[in-house]
Amino acid sequence: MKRLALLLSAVMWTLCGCDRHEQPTLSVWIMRPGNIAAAQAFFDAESAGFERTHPGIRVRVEFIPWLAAHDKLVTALAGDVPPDISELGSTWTAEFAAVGALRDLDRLDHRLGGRSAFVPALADAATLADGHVYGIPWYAGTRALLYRKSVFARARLEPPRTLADLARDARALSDPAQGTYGFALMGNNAPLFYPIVWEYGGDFAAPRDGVWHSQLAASDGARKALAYVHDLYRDHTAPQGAITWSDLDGRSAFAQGTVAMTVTGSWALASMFAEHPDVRADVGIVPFPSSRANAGPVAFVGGSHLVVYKRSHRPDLAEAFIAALSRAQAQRRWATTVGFYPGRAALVRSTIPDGTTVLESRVFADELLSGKSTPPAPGWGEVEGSATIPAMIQSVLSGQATESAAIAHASAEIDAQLDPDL
Amino acid sequence: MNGRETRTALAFLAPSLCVIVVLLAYPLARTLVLSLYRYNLAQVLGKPARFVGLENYRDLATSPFFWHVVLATLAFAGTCVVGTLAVGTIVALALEDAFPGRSALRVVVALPWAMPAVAASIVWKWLFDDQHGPLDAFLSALGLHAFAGFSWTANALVAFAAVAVIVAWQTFPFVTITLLAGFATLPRSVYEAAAVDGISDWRRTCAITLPMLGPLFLTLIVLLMIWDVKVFTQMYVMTGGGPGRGTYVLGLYAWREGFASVHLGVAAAIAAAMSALLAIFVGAYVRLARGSTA
Repeated sequence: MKRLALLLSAVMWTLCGCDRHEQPTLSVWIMRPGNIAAAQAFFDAESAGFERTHPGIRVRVEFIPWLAAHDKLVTALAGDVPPDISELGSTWTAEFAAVGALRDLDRLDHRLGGRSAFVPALADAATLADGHVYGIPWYAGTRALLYRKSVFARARLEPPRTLADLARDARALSDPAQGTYGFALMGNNAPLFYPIVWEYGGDFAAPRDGVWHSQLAASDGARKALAYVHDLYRDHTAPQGAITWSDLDGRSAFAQGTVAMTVTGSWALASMFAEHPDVRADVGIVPFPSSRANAGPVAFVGGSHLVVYKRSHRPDLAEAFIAALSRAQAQRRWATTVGFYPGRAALVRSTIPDGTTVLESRVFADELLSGKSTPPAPGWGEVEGSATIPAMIQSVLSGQATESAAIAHASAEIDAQLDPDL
Repeated sequence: MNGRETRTALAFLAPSLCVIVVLLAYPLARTLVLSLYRYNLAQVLGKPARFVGLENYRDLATSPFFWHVVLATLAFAGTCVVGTLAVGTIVALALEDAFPGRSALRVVVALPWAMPAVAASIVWKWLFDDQHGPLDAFLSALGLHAFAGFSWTANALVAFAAVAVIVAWQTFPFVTITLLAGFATLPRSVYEAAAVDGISDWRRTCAITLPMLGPLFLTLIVLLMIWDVKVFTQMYVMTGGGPGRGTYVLGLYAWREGFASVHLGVAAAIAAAMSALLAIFVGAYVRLARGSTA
């Protein structure tokens, strides 16, 4: 009897399973934010709303960790089972679009207001050389300079406005014998290095006859930027070990008082201040320095897009769900939850992410609207995956290569990574 | 052997042959085939793979970086082997003679060997940390002030040395346990004769124990070399190949090409080259093993 019951329940299960399978489902993969409870609540509400207006449709949202996301998406695509919608790191969109995995979203983009409706750097990163738009900007983020007010006050220094100021302050505030340093020069943090290259007039890649090429050696900018960070490192303005530091290492050294300045994003502030509440009042936030006085900085803008996969069986519904998530109210709420800024340009200035004050959030907002993204080249994701830029910086800082040799090496590597035939 | 016997033999071998084919031959063959193709992200996502013959191998053979990594891997593995043997032998000799608590200590000594490499590497990474690591604090407390805030990963050679310490620490128990077993096989009569001659402990170790274990040491060297050429975890956790690309070893190089850059063909070619390199040591091991049983 017991066995029969077991069998029956198994049959019922299978039937239910079939039944569930029959119900049209929209599967959505979202990058797992730190604040998972709030994220879950957000999507519970959004999915319920969408299911109400689209009877019979089920929305299934899955959170995937950033670090595993690229692998997981590639595997899903290789197995021909991608989700309908996913969030993509803004540098991956071109990569996935170029291999034909994504549906073009020109119509949806147009409906939502087109390029001018979004943070420019993110809109650029979603547009491929063929002129089509493959991603709708979801959230945007940028980094600014954090400094310890008390340290600067004691030394009678103003926070730096130019790269020359930054170098001077970093030297003045460093006392290696005491184990205190001016600046967290993070050798494993490419986004710290991007704006320095741009400020010196350099760039990373540009298209020529439809093929992207490295621009590192095309001007003197990258060499000057490398020389700048090399000088800072040689003068012991950062701990020796900073050569392998990531964003997180720089932040914890800053919170513990080992370094007086670091560079980090708005999304990291809430958790940093929750862990070190005592430093909150002592932290000032200013724009990342530019090369000249009175000129705005060229910040590096990253973020994410929402994309629809070509294999989706319900592309129209997928687009409708993205449109719903792009409502002003939804975008602002999500951005605040994860500590970023909305992808919609009009909302940027009125958003105050967790962990920032009104004035501080203005610093990030200004940078976002004027900043740049990395080259929207299909192969740029590979440049990032291979850590070519950090390897170039580290080989200079550690003295393994001269600036010119490191640039030549990285250029060759980038050219190979950007070449679609390779 | 007649036909019937052959069939019976094959039938008995069939289960293990199946396992070998599924677990060994297929992945190996797949790797070799893959190494002849251009197989990048686009191909993973459905573009047809392009046959390129030996191009991946040619590219590697003409790449100075590849040869640099090969040499670095061999030098690093050699250093690890020497360090592991030295520590393992010293500990084995210390544990050879009876003293209170020896059995317990023999168990404790085996613990690093039992620890998962990832866990051990993360613990060592903390120990080596330049800002809060106890190692730097200890060294500078001893008066070696140069080690205050000293980074063990900022320079490739230093980083190699630090990772070699981790690898040696993890593998020395194997050497110790093997040698302790080896000690037990040595004939008592030789030691009795030596005792009659009034030989010192030191002479006894250097002139009798270690030379008599020569074949065992040779086997250990080859086995350790095979393991240490394949080191990946410790390097991945500790340096990730940095600074720059300064601490790349073959395993890390293949991983980066395959999974970070999605160049599966190139990664397969590196793996094949690595297997060829290891085959030399495996061949040596097989000869040694044969020699000792003949």
